[in-house]
Amino acid sequence: MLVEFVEVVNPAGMHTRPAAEIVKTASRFKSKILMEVDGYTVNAKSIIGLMTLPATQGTLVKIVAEGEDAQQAIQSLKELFANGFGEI
Amino acid sequence: MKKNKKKSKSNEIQLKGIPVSKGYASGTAFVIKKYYYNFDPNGSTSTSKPEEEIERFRQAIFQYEHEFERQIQNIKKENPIASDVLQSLKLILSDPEIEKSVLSYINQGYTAEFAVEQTYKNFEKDLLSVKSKVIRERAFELEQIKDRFLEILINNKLSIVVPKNSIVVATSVSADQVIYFHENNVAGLVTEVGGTTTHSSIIARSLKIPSVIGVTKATNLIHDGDLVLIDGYKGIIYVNPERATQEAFQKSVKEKNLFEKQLGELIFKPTQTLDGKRIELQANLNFREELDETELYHADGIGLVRTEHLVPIKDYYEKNFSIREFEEQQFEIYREVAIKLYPKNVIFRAFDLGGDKFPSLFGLNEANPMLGLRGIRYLLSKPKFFKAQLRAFLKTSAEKNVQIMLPMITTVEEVLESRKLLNQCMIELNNEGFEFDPEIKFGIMIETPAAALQSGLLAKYVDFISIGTNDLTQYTLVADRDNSQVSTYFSPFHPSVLKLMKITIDSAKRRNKKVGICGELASHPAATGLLVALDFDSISISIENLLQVKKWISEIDSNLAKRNLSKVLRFSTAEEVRKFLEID
Repeated sequence: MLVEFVEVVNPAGMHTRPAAEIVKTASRFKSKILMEVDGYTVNAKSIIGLMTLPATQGTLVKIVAEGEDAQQAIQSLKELFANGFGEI
Repeated sequence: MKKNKKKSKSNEIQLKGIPVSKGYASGTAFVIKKYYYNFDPNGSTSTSKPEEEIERFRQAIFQYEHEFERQIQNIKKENPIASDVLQSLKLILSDPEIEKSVLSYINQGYTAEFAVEQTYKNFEKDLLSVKSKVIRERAFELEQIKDRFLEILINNKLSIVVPKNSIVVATSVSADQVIYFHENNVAGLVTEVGGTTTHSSIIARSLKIPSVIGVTKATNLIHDGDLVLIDGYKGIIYVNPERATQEAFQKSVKEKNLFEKQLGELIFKPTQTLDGKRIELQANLNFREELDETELYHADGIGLVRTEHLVPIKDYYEKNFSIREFEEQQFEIYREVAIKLYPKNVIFRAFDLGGDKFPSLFGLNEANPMLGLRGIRYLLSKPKFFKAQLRAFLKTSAEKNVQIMLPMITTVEEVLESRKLLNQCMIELNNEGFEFDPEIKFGIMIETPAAALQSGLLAKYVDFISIGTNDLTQYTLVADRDNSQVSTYFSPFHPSVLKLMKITIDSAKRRNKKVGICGELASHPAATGLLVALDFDSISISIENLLQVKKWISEIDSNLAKRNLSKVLRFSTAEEVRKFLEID
């Protein structure tokens, strides 16, 4: 099981489009991937879950991945967050 | 014959809603009532095996995804934004959490319909509990997706054949339905529920389908075949209009067409000089009625909201509103403005009270109100009152397109004291669980010589500066602009005023702070060149002058304007400046 903390850097924070980007990325991997903010956890492959994640700009999001490709999954998601979901 | 019609009974009714997509439309009503299905849990146990129900569920997903894909392909080229939205919504269909929940209901013996209905309802609740309004509005979309899902599922596809040029009247419409209507040449949309930032509204706007939402009982009051006129500017629906109403409506349509034709080209062009120097051209906002035009004219946001005009402050004093009620009242008003302008920025100026603005209301009895407790001074003397406004601003700022501006600054302490109050408000709201922009831009108006001369220091403590030319002129030249006996003294072209402006702009630029101007000086053709040369980042102007100023700016050669400015700054009198600029 791998754990990584990433920061939300785009000004608009989490909304429909970033959630869709995360789902598309996370769904490429077999691993089980969870995202957590302040103890609230959602499935990173669920757009409906991600939309309820209280992640505004500056929020630290904990990513937990478990599975054979967890390493690659975390790396890809890290890049997505760092790029501000392509919004900055 | 026409005139004797008075007695014939009129069937005309007028309905009011929220305009979400501008324009006029007329056509025959096509009413779509919400599809009803019995979701009584007792009657929803399935007679077929769970595996069969699961298969039906998967089939429906497959079919619905196919529908989405077809629409995405159709719209991709002409509207990439809409296609992006659909791509995101499509992911909901195959969401693993939704699937997990649906399968669990089915495995408990329920029908696929009930499982979908119940699952979507639960997730809707989750979305509605989120603080962000934008996310909450997604809940509507979830419901619309569910409705279509159920239609497919029950094989009652309600494959709506909408006649051309009809006005669709529905309980609600989904983003994909709007696109479908567009493909079928629907003239306009009327719905009972919805939100201004839901995807269906956004798509209706981008496809230019005049739409009004929030029309209570529309599907009951309007019947198939009724003649319907939509005023998508004011949000008014005329059903079975009388002849006079129709004629008046046609006249409005004609006028709007002519006007748009004349200024149309200008509206969609960026504001820039002949040689390509860009300037932000913003609108001033005094009344909410001006909001539509601000949007219509494509202003680069609002550079000055005169909140003392927008908010009925009298209520607070005369109706004995509590401070919380007053804050809530303001929040509602500000929110409407911020949502309407989103993603463009809105600069809200704190109440500029005192002076000539309702002095009697505040029990101020001053010999010289213009030199008295006005602007920021009044606000700081009533910290609770001031904080209610700051809190309302902050609560409006969650989407990060709200900025705050202080009026009538004369000292640095006023800025620091106000910052302190703002921070207190942030701490309070944070504890109360409200969402806001913690880095909200905070600026000041430079309207006094004291502030202009200290603008270098002031710029250090603020994010932006805006020069108010009317007050700056009157305080510099000690001339009341409404007093005709001294009107010759009141001239924004006086070298002292121009120098104070120059000092302020230079200070702001040295600190890399944005500097704008709001005041009627900008609505003078000769002044436009000076303002461009002075290097203002933005000009905020009353909406009725906006396109005119845009036109003047487009005719300016910024190098020539710069040379003119250096000449103007060397003149000794206002008269010389006026002569040089050929101002009568």
